[in-house]
Amino acid sequence: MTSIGNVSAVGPPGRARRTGPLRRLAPDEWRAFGFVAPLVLLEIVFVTIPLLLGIYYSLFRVDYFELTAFRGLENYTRMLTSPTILSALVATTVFTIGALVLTLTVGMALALHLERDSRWNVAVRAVALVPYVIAMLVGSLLLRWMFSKDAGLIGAALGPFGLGEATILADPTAAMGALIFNAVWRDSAFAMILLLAGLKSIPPELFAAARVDGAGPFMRFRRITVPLMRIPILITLVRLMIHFVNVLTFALILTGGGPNNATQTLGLAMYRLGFVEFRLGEANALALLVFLFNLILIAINLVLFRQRRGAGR
Amino acid sequence: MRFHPFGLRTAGLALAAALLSSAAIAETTVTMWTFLDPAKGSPREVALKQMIEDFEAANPDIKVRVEPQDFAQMPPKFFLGHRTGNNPDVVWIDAKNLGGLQQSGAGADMEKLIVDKWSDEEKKDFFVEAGWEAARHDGTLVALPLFHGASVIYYRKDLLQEAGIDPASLSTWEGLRQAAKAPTKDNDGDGRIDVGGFGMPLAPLKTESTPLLIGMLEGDEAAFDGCTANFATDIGAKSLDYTVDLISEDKVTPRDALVYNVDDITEQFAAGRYAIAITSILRQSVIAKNATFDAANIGVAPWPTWTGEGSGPMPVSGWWVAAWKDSPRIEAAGKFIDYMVSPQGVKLWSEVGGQVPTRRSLLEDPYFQKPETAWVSTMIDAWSANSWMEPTACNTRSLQGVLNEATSRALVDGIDAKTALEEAEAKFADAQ
Repeated sequence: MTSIGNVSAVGPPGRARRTGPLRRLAPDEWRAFGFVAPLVLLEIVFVTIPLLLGIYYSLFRVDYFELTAFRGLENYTRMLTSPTILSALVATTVFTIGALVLTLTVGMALALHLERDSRWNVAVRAVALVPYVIAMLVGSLLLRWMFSKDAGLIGAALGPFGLGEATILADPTAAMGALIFNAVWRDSAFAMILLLAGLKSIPPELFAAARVDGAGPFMRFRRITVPLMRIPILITLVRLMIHFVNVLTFALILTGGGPNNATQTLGLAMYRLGFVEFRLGEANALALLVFLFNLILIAINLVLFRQRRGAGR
Repeated sequence: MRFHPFGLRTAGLALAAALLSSAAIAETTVTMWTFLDPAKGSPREVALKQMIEDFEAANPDIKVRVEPQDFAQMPPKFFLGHRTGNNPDVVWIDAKNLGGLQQSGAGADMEKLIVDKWSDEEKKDFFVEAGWEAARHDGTLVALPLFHGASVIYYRKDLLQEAGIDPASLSTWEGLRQAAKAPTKDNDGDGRIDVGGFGMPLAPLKTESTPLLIGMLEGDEAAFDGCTANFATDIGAKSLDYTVDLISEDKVTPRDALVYNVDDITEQFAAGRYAIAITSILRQSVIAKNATFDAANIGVAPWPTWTGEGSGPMPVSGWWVAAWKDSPRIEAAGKFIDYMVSPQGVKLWSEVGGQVPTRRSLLEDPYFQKPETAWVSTMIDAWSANSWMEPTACNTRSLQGVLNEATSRALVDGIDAKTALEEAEAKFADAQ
């Protein structure tokens, strides 16, 4: 290998290649950049620029898209000390934890139960997917009318048991339950698909060998399925968590954030600030805080999984 | 095939003449943003379509192109467009965005463009003075009222009659409470109310005025001092307690009303699930069209008062029309706006679109003498007697939402009315 300055010759004799930023790119590499460049450009136009604009707007009072006064970090302190936003943070946390645990559990149960490709299982998988393929808004509207006390199916079912007076949507705790139910009803099928893909990648010989060794279903699940499903579970978890922290439709359609703001999540609070009250400076500040909240949650997940993987070795 | 030179010459001349004549009546296309789509079939959309056709027939050199918009996003988009120099010639503005129109400087001076050409009589024909003056900023009129709306009390004539209730008793809050009790029914004994006494939209979003707001406007203590809310007064507390009692004590309003928005209440009233309900007068034609009962049984009452004297303050909302100040087609835009608010235009909005006319002179039209249009006279009398406009210089988008949250706090958490109203004041202040 010969070296001239920061240019070194590596590889086949006679072909000198630069290393570092100045090295000449091979035609294949140029082609690869060519494929990636449009997407990078789109990312810059539709993600990076709006993000930077959002940060800029968050430092101002914005009236009708007009920056009327520089506020510095005041919008952020307002959001962090606002009782409405803190209550939305609590609602989001309760909703996310409840929906995440139940959706993952139901999704995993469905995936395990429907893993074999029998005709029946394929048909049931398709049925399980129906809530997921229905538009989110339509699904939530459907549940809204089901939960309605005087006009809904749930009210009709409870009536004969003397529970006709019970209200679901107008009770803070029950309304949160309804919101979580909406999420589980819709997104369990999504979790099932991701987890099913993970299950399919586990070699069946491992289960056969475990059976020969006398391992029961629970032992096989604990010792084979869970360890080998760590990455699919992590992907499902992170994907669902981001979705539940940010989702607007469930709360907007099912309860409108009521009663008493009990189901007003951060997504809905952001929507109200930005698109109902047109307080765009504060809405941008909140959006960036929620973005950071998302990043922190994902980082915690990744660290926890890495620690558990390390402990498992 | 050979062409005769004379024939070719004639054809050429004819083509040139056609091109010249079309150039002579060069068309100006006026673009308008509205939430209505003239290609669709709701009463107001049919009226708009007909209005455009009539206007274009009378003004062959002007075409009107409608670009339907989402009604919530349309005004802010227009204000932004003014900054970037790209806007339609005409835009519709709702009451909550009149202040924004004034602050943005995007609206043309309607007096110079249109109103100065009218006679004094024509100007006085617009009877909702609060609605007219709400569009004035620093002496400049930036929009004209197209049709006014308001949250009102709808009632079922047949259900009240069955229950032996005289609709005239709805003129006091106590009368309304009693009237709502009688028709509230659980027909099959399953514990669920089949016909509710009084439907109120108490959700934090998409709502309308409720007894809390209207009740507190009646007191001597003003509910607003500029953009500062003054809700936590004795009359405010009385109004809040009254609203809560309708749910918890009288049980004439279902508890689920805490999450019902105005769409829910409108649909449920049209489906026959309420004897009395609050929704917007702008929805009268839709309710009549969708009613599962005889639409002749729909009655509209002005807001009650605590004392029974006169009628309660009738809010003024609805839609105004404005021209973009920098429009290169400002004269043509002015002509079309003038047509939309002219007696012919107002007649279409009223008789085809089912709206309350903005001009008093229209009431002499035989159409408004019919019994089924009695609600129009009710509205006009109520607005003429006692109208109220939200403070347009303030951000009032959260007004009804924060009052509904106060109702919810008092009902669900049992906090006292004044504390709940103080919280609402703070939330309203945050939005300014």
